[in-house]
Amino acid sequence: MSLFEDIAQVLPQMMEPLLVTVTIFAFTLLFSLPLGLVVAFGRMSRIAPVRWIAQVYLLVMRGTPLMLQLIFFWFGLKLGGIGFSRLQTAIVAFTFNYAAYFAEIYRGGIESIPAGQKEAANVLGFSKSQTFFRIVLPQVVKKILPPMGNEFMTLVKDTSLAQVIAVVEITSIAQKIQTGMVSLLPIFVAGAFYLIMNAVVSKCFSMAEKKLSYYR
Amino acid sequence: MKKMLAAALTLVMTALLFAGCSKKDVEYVVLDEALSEEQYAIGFRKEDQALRDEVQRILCEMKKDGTAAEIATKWFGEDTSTIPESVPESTATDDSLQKVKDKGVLVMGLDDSFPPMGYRDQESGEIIGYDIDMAAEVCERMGVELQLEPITWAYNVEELNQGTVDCLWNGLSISEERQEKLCLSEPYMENRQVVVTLKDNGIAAVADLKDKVVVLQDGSTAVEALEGRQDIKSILSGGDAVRVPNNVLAMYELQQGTSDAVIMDEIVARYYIAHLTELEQEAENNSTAE
Amino acid sequence: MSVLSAQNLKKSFGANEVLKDISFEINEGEVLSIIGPSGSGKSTLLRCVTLLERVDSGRIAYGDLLMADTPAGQARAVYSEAAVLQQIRRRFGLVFQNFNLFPHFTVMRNLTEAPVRVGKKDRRTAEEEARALLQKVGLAERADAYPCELSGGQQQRVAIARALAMQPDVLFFDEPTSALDPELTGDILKVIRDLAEEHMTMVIVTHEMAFARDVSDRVIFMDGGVIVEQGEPAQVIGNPRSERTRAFLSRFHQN
Repeated sequence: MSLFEDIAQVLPQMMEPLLVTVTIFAFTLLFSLPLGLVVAFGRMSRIAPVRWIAQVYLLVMRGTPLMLQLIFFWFGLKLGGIGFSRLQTAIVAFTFNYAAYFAEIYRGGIESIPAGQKEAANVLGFSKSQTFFRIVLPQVVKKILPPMGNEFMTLVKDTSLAQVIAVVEITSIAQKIQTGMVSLLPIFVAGAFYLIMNAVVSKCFSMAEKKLSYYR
Repeated sequence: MKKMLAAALTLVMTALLFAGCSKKDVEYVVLDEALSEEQYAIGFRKEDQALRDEVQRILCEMKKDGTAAEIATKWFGEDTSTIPESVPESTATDDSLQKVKDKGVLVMGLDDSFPPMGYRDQESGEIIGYDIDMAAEVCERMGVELQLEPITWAYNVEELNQGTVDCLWNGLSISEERQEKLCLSEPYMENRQVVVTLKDNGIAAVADLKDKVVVLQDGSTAVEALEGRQDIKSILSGGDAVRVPNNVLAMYELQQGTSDAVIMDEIVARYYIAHLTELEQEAENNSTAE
Repeated sequence: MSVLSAQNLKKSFGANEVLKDISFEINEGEVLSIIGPSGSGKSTLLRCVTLLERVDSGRIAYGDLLMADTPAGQARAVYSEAAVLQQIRRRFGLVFQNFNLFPHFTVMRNLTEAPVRVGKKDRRTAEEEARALLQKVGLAERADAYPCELSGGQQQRVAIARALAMQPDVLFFDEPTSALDPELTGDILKVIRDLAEEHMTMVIVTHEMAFARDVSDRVIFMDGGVIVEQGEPAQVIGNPRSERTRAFLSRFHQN
C-alpha cells in the first residue's frame, strides 16, 4: 500500500518539527499564563496610568494579527540581533500575544467572584494575598476552565504561524516536504498531529473540570 | 484514547480517499510560448562587493573547468547554466569577504521549497538541489563551511540586511528593484514563466486560455508575469487568475479538473511533471503487478 | 464595660449622606438590635464598624484599641495602622445576609481555614473546636459536606459557626434571615437565642420585630441616617415615642 509507505516515509522527517511545535506550545503557556495574571492585575489596578498601559497593551496585542507581531519581533525589534533564535523569538511573540487573551479571561473570572467572598475573607482577617490565592483564585480557576480550553486549543493551531519567521514547525515542514513530493499528503499528516494534540488538551480539560465539579 | 484513535482513523480515511482520487490518468503539457523570461542570480548585501566578486570568480572558474556543467547536467539533464567564463578582476575594498573567511561560514538564505533549486528530500528530509550543490562547491573552494538557513522568502531582503544570512541563493530572479537594493551576481540560469495544462484540456496556445480557469502561486514571479501580459489576463475566466498558496495546490487543481491551466516557473514545472508522471507509472506498475 | 464605642460617625457615598452623626455603644454581654426601613443606613453602619467601609469622620474604638479617630479641627477620620486594624478584626465576627461561605471548601475547612491561617492554630486543635461549634449549631454530621449541598438555613448556621471559630468579642449579624424562606428562619433565630443565653455580645440588624423584641437587651431604631430612638425593646417596639418609629412599626403590624 503506497499510501502507508508514503506516510512512513514522511513521519520521521516530521518528528523534529513536531517537537518544535510542542516546544512553542509549552513555553508559551509557561510564560504567558503568569504574565497574563500580571496584565490582568494591571488592567484592574486602582492606579490610572497602570490601567492605561494595560489597556493599550491589550488593544495592541489583541487588535493586530499575531503574524504581524511575529514579524515585528523578528525584524522590528531585531531580537535575532541580541542573540535570540527564531524559535525563541516566536516564543516571545506568542507569549506576549497570548498573555493578553489570558489576562482578559482572568479578569472576567476574578470579577465574576461575588464581592461577598472577599468581604468574608477580610472580616475573618485573611491578608490580601491569602484572600487572593486561597479564596478567590481557586474559584476563578473553575470558572475560567472552558474559555481557557478554547485558548489552549487555538494556541496549538496558531503555532503554525511561527513559519512566517522561518521557524520549521509541523505545518511548514509539511509544506516543504509536499513541494518536493508533489503531494498534499504531508499536510494531512500535520493535521492529524494537531488533532491528536488537541484531543489530549481537550481530555486534560474535561478531566480538570470533572475534578473541580465537587462544588458549585 | 479511543477518541484519539477515532480521530486518527478519520484522517487516514480522508487521506486514502484523497489519494485514491489523485491516481487519475493525466498527461501534462507545457506550452511553447512563454509569458515572460527571467534570469536567476545570487543576491548579496549592497555593500558586500568583495564577497560577491569572490563568489563570481569561483563560479567562472567552475564554468571553465567543467564542474558547473557537471552539476547542471545532474539536475537538468543538460548544461543549462549561463555562467560567464570570465569577469573583470575585482576592485572591491570592503571587508565582507574577510568577515566570511574569519567566521569560516557562508550562511546561505534559501526557500527550502523550490524544487529542483533547493528543497527537502522526500526520504531524508535533507535540503538538496541544484543551488545547494553549486554553493557547496563554491564554499569548498573558498575554504569555508556552507550553512543553509531556510527563511521566509517573502522577507528575503530583510533577512539579508538583518545579517541573519550572507547571501540569497535560491532561484532569485533579477528585477529592477532587486538590482537597486542588492548586489547581484552575473545571471547563472534562465527561466521562463510558462503555461502548464493537461493534454485533454484543448489548450494548444496562449490564445486558447480564453474563458479558462487559470491558477498560480500567490506572491510568485508568475503573478508579475501575468500582470505584464494584460492581453492574456483579460481573456481569462473572471478576468484574472486564481491565486493559491503554493504550486503543489496549483498542480492539484489542474489534476482534479477544478482549473484548466497553471502559470509557473518552467524549471519547477518540468520537475513536477517528471515527478508526477513517475508516480503515475509506479501506480500503474503496482496495479498490473497485483 | 464597653466592647465597642462609636462616636459622631459620618459617611457619604457621593452626594448621598448615609450616616449623619451616629453615636452608640455596645457593652459586654449585651444583645443590641438595630431596626429601621431599608436605606436607613443600618447596613452601612455595620459595614463601617467591621472595616468593610471607612467612615468619613468620627471615632470608633474596640475597648482599648482605637480603629479610627478624627483629630480636632480636621474633617476626615484617620485610621490606625494596619497591624492595629488586624488586631481589631480578631475581636469581631460578621454574619452576612447571603452567608458568603467559601464554596470550594468543606464545612470543616470553612470553619478551620481562618483559625489556622490567620490565628496560627494547629489544624487538629482548630478541627476539634470546629466540631464543638458544629455540634452547637446542630450540624455535627455535615462537617464533610460542601456548602452547595446544604440548605440556606444550614449554610447560615455554618456561617455563624465560622464567625464563632475566631472567638470574637462581639458578633455582628447583617439581616441573617432575610435571604431565607420563612420556615427556615426559626433554626437561625434559635441559634442566636442560644448564644444570647451564653451572654455572647451581639449586634443584630434585622427585620424580625418579634424576635428583636424577644432576644434584645436594647433596640436602636434608625431612619434617614440618624438614630431616631433607642431603649429597652418593650419601650421602642411596644410603645415608641417617635412618630417615625410608630409609622415604621405599623407597617409590620399590618402584615
